[in-house]
Amino acid sequence: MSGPAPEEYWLDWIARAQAGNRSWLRALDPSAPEEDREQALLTARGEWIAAMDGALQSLAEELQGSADWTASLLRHLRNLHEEVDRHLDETAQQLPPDLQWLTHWLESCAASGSTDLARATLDALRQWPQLGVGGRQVANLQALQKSLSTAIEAGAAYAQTQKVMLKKALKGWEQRLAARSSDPAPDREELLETWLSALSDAYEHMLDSDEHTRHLAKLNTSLQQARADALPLIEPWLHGFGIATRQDLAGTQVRLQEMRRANDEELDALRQRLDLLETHGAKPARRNKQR
Amino acid sequence: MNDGAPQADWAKTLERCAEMQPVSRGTLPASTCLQRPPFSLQRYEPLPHQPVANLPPILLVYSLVNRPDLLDMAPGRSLISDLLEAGFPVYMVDWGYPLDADRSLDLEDYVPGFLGKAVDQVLSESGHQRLMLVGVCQGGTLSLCHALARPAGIGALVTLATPVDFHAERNALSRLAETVPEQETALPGDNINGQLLSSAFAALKPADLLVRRYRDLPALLQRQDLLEEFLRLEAWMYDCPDQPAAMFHRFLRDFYIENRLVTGRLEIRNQRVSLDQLTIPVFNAYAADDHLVPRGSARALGHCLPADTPYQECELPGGHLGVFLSRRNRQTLIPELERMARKYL
Repeated sequence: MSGPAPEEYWLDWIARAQAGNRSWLRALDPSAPEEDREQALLTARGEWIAAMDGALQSLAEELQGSADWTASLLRHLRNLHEEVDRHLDETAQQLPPDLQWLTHWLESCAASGSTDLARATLDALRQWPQLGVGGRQVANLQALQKSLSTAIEAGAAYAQTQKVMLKKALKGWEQRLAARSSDPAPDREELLETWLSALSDAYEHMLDSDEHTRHLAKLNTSLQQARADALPLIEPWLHGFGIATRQDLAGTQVRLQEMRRANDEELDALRQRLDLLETHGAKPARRNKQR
Repeated sequence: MNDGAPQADWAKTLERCAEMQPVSRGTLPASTCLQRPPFSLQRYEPLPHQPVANLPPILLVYSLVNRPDLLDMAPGRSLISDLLEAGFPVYMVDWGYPLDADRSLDLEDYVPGFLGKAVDQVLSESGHQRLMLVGVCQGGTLSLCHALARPAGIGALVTLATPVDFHAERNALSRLAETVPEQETALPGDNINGQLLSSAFAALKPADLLVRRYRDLPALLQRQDLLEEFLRLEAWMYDCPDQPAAMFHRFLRDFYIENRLVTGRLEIRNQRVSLDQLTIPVFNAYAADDHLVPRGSARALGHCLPADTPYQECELPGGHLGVFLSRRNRQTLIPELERMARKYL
């Protein structure tokens, strides 16, 4: 059996899709005019689809050129199963990129030689009852450590549901292709449609399962918790430099909203009084159409 | 690797799309007659040939999730244009693009808050005593809440593709809602990113919305009108305003998680409201094949209203957007609204 190894198709697909990254970035550039961004988004999607088409076209050509396309397809699918497993196992143990720095930061906090009270005494305090400011910081660090490890576990469990889904999709693809008449080998169009149909079924099944809901909820909650646990550690530093945080902004915004509601209520009460005066024949006040 | 016809078609199609950008959306002339940022009230200009029908004004309330210009998508595909043609004065609430500073906007700021002001403004401008409130999707849920909390001035209520019983049929959207962590802090968190929300909606049907939809695009190359329509819908789909944190979590908890609208446990401004208090005539239209608002969820309204509240429902063929985008469905809806207006207002 000859021809490109299956991972080559998918690597090629990924490479082509990544070549479309310029378009994605243009789509995200806030300084670009809106119509340019919309077009860039569309272009990026087009490049992505074209990449997928290219990969499937290569696979179709290889199958069509093969003496026993069914055996060839099965070999590809088996390899694909392995690729998917390997990829998901590799990524399952990682935090999302926006939280990865927290683990490094935690490590540096625990390093000795720091002039910061919490960091310098961290190791010692771990041996002592957690009292005072330093104790609180240690408790915060421990909470963050715990929530990060919960987030990693939740991420791995969620990746497992995706792994099961993708395996089902690949199996479904295989069954759909096996169920067709043996000749001729499927073309690109058929490969894509059977793949999309198998993927949709497996995906819908996953979305509809309690297991997926439970794992995704746990992942979302644990990531939120990790962010919340990081805040008490980060905010005092930022305040030390006079840098307002989003929490500070939130406090101001809440206060503004409370004032806005109070003003509205007062205005409504005044309008009601005005309506009463008008109804009872007092000198009518001219009301502006646009309030 | 084959770089044959499909890629070439794609390149041509994208080139053509670029030439056509930006596509126009919501082209009917309208002016702002009330503004409380981020909210505003839009008044549509009567059409030049609009008949004098002495019909009461209609106040349209759209969902918070996407932009309301879907109701005026294009000439020939505009619910608003059809309403104007029938002779209704048309007003529409625009919930705008909330900023960070709007993160603590809550249910009460929408209903009866701004919607109450909008009703007053429409009645004051139009000289009518009552109007017809037409809520679309989540806007329908908000309209129901408003009609319960502050029924004054509302002569009839129309709900289009509106979720009522959020536990009626557990669909992908309600399952997704269950995975959002509860807001536990005293201060509202960050607003919910609109792009993230768009992605979540697209992820409900990834094969259709992320692959098939674009893959078929080159087939439209020779059809300027269809390509324009595609681009309009594309621009609308991914134009999702950020959601104020407080309102988003309140809606999720009260409606999706605790289903308070049908269990009679909903509180607005600390007053309990319940659908069995609603006496305003209701017309409820829903789609037969809606992946966002299941039939059972929309139809629950009929079971929750008091027995003597005039109520009519209508199942329309197609999916969620088809309720107001499909010409055939609009041809069914408009006469029903006219009939309702003449009977009850």
